[in-house]
Amino acid sequence: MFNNLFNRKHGKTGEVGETVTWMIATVIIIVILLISISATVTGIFNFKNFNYMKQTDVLASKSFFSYLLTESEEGTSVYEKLGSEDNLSEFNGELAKDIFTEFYGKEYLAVWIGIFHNRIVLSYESNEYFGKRPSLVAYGITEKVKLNEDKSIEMILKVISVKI
Amino acid sequence: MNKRGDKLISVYWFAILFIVAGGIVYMVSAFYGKPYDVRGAEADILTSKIAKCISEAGYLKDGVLEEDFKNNFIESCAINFQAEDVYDWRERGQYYVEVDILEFNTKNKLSELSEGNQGLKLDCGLEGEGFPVCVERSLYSIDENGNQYQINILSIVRKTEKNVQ
Repeated sequence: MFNNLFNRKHGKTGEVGETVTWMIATVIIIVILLISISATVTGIFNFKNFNYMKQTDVLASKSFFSYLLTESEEGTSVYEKLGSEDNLSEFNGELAKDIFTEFYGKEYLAVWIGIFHNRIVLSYESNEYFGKRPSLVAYGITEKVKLNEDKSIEMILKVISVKI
Repeated sequence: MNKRGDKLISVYWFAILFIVAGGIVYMVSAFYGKPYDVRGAEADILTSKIAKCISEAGYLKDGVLEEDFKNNFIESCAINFQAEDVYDWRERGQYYVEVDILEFNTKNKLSELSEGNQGLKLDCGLEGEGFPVCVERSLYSIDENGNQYQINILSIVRKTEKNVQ
């Protein structure tokens, strides 16, 4: 008699516990489902907008080559000047800023034009017009032109997720 | 008592199964029912093609500032504005291109040309998915005499029906 009463009492406790578990499980399933559906419908994971990661920029590259061909009042081109000078001079630097910062500054996370020393590993000259070279350019568009045996001029456009 | 409980659990399981399956079907149809919007990429390609046509090897191409180039812009740059023959696209024109060539230092306009459906330009700058995609970019170029130019290219692609739903 006492045993029966004991078992029945314990069985009921078990049933209540199980029901609560099922109810919580149901609520969790429904909540996860609703979050997933609302995320899909509202477009939080907006994979449908074709934002591609640019690897080249035709317009910036063309501007870069035209910039190097531009001649100063003395008749020397930016390319020649950079080859003979240590770093960007006033003419080269101001012109580069006028072109690249103005045209592409808003599109990219960072725009940098500067001198790269070929013989020293990872040696970039910072300059007063563009500052230090951006450190992380894993997703960047780069264009490099050799000035002489020792150095090159480099253009870096650090890419954000380009939204057009 | 136990059998009734088992039956109840089975019904519950089937209900959950149908709810989850229905949810997954809805999500998949909602996601794949929407098209990819490639108009931005298309406008960007159009802009690059025009840039290649106007500036070559760092120099402005010969004759770009002349009337003849303006009048035969589409042929000279080998651009095709023909869209698919759906949703009245051919009649209404789905593209618009505008090129302004300015003197770099003074920003004086030296030449301007445009082709395509000019009406699309009115929708540029408006927010929302139902409007055309506008891409406005600039490039720098020089000519053989050392004159400096700023070239502004505006490319617009509509094609809303197939890219946005």
